[in-house]
Amino acid sequence: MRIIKDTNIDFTGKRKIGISFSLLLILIGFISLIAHGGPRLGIDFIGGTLVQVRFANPVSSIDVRSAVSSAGYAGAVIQQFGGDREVLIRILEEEGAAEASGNLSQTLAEGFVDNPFEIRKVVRVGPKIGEELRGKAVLAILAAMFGIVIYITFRFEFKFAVGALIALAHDVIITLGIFSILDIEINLSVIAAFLTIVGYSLNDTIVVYDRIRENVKSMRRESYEIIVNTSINNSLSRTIVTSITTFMVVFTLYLIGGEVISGFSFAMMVGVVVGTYSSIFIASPILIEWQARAAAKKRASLTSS
Amino acid sequence: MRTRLAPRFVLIAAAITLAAYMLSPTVEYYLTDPEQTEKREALQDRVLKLGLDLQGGIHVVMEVDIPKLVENLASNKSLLYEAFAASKLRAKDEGIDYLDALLLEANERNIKLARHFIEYGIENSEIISALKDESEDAVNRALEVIRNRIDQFGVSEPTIQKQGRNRIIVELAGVQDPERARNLIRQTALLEFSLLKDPDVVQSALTRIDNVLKSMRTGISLDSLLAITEAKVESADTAAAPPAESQDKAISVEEIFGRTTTDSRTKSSDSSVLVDEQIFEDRPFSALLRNVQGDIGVPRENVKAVKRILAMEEVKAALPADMKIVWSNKARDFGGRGLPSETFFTLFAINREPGLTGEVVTSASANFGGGASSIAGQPVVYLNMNDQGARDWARLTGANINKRIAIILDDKVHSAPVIRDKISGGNTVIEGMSSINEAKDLSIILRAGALPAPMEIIEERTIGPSLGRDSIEKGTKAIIIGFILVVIFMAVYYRMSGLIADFAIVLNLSFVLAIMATLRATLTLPGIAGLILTVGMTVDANVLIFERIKEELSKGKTVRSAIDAGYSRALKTIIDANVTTIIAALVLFQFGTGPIKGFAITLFWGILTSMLTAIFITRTVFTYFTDRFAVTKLSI
Repeated sequence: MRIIKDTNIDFTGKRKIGISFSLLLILIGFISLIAHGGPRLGIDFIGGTLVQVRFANPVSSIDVRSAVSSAGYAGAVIQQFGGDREVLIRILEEEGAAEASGNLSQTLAEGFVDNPFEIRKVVRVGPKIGEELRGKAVLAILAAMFGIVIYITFRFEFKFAVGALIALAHDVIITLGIFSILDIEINLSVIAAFLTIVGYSLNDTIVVYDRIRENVKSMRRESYEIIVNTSINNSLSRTIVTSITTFMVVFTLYLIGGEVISGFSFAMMVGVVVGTYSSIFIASPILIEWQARAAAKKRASLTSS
Repeated sequence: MRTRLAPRFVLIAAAITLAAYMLSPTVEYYLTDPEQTEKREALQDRVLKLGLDLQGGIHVVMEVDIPKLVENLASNKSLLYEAFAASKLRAKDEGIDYLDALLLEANERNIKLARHFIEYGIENSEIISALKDESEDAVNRALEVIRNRIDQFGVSEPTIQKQGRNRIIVELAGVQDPERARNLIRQTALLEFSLLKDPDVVQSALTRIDNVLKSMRTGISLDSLLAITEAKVESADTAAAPPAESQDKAISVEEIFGRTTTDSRTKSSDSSVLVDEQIFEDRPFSALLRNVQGDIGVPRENVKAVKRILAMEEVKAALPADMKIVWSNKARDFGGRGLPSETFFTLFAINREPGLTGEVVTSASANFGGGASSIAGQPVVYLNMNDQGARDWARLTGANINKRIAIILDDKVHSAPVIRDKISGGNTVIEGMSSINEAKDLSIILRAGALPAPMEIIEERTIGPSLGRDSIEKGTKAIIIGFILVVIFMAVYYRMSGLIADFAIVLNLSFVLAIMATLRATLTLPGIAGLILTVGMTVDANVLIFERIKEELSKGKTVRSAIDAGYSRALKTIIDANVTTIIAALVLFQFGTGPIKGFAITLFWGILTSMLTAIFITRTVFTYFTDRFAVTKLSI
């Protein structure tokens, strides 16, 4: 069985369309980010307290809100969560979040005498830690990119590293943009997903690059553009099969993995799609542009001398 | 040409046996009835542990509150308060250590620290470095204290470790009552016995606070107000205790400070407080309070406002120097008897200088109060004191019969009994606990000793056991379904070869789990995600190989040489692709905390084993079948 027969699609010829499309996506992402005042960071990065409570019987978020504000947390955000018995209560650091979880459980016990509840989760992150984690997250993504560039330069050539790096930045920025448009919160596990996207997208890019490196040797007479295009076509069936299986797995995780992991798996889903796209339309075409420029430079220096 | 397969099969069989051996304790452990604790404990060291997010538990990061520590160590600190505050700001603004900021401030302000820290040296820099040592030392001692407390609490396999210079991480997996564990960890256990101030002294202090607020609201100078009110209080002494049923109205917190003049009723009720309307104009602070069985009660709604008022510098200055106002440790319900149920926190005005501190306590035990006393049947904590403590306690109680003494833990009053008799022998009882568990925990804390420095919880992650159970159910379900989908897809798409790949996936999963169990790593929810991704990676390696084989076959190669060429060409790609993922995993491991680290670990090992299974094992199987059955057409 083959989904993809031997193909000869002109991917590189359409690179201008691909690049424009990506720039458009990035632009939309940026506009959304500016409109939202930056990415929506979770408690992990801004500090505060999050309490997840499950009641025995359905509750209304209005009742919970009034109970919570009577405990002195007027600015708390109450969010119904996975059915009508569970709520998330978020309290920002300025409101004395340090004491919140203890105070809340007492207030709720008094406010909902007939409706026993259970505190399912408490996350409290002090402002200092939030800042540290934020710094660390950015550092981690940069460090991963740096390590990867070194490796690719070592295994291939520098221009491949540049192409891969641009594709990576592209994927992360677009995923960030999509998160912003859908107003999904960025927490620690989403950052983990981002790093996995970095790894996955690269996996894809490298498969194509490998093919290019191989074809450069066997197709000496052909133009660089044709070599790149052939390589993309050569590895297309693999790219698609792997993307399908990975997507299948991550999608299952998203559907039934539970709320705890949904941010992570959603980021991965986006990442798989964007990563596959970028290795075809961004990472490889960049090599062509680079090659063309290098050739022009060479010609220029030859004629001038 | 036949490849010699025997050594390969031996190697594979050995790997599978080893993996089975490494996994067997885990399988046995999770199949054993939780009741059989002995058997489970014997296995415990060799099983794949579940992370906090899967079995519930608590993760706490504590940090020495260095500014507070320094403040506690300083003498004559009133001269230093400004420098302290400035250093705090500076440390924050410039992102430097608080102590470094303090050094800079002290030098700029020409403060000789030696005057305030007599034992720590002469030069400012010398004192700062001594304070740094002091804070590090405090962490080490705190580590001991917390370890002691946790040991007595009885949690299996707690993780208590130092992080950096002034942090402690405590991780307790599988705790059923995280709230209780948290209280146990965080209490500083500063136990004090302090006499309550006489009611008339307290009343005049309250009046003074009223006047401070009033002068802020009206702009009338404090002195002139003082004269008026003092006259009033004398003439109408009955007004001192607010009537039980007064006309309450809701006003905004801001109104107390005179900042709001609009109709308060239109404001949202979120920031409102309950005040006694009749006396609000005259005594804005007392209006927030209630007389609750002779104590000063603060209705829950008013707590925030009262805290804010008490924190004001002007109010602090208005209190007598030797008086301190502290809160009760919890709210009490004083409703009933036809009155609506209302909960109150209680305020106590006490002697700033404690009569006795907890250092003299030699032992503490929890029990139910016995005999016919007022505490019969209530959970209480019995204390024993050393000789010196017993002498001081006897003197203190003997001299203050019929007065009240507050028993204060961490600046919260647990109870304030009346001293009926001189207590000699050093025994005493703390009451006011709502359950025997609370009494037990208090006795643990008192026995293990106080934290040597104020500690602050800067990060806390608590997962209730039921959420953990849900997560593990959903996580397992997801991995099984995802896994089945992939297995079916591979079998449909690549037929027989797909089945070989499926075999590799199964082996790969068990290898990763076996390695993790051996390394005593922890399986977290993101770890499960990592496993799923590992499945994806194994699939990818096989897809790369299979697609190459197909290509070679379409070029007209024989089955045998197509397989050879497919593997050798794909190998390079697989390695390059996987090394980059490994780099990402290593970075994640380096940066990640708990759950994310779990993801990185599974990803890292998963990739390594996927290379082994996808390349070495599947190839062996391929070679075996093609040799044995002289396959001329590959099912791929």
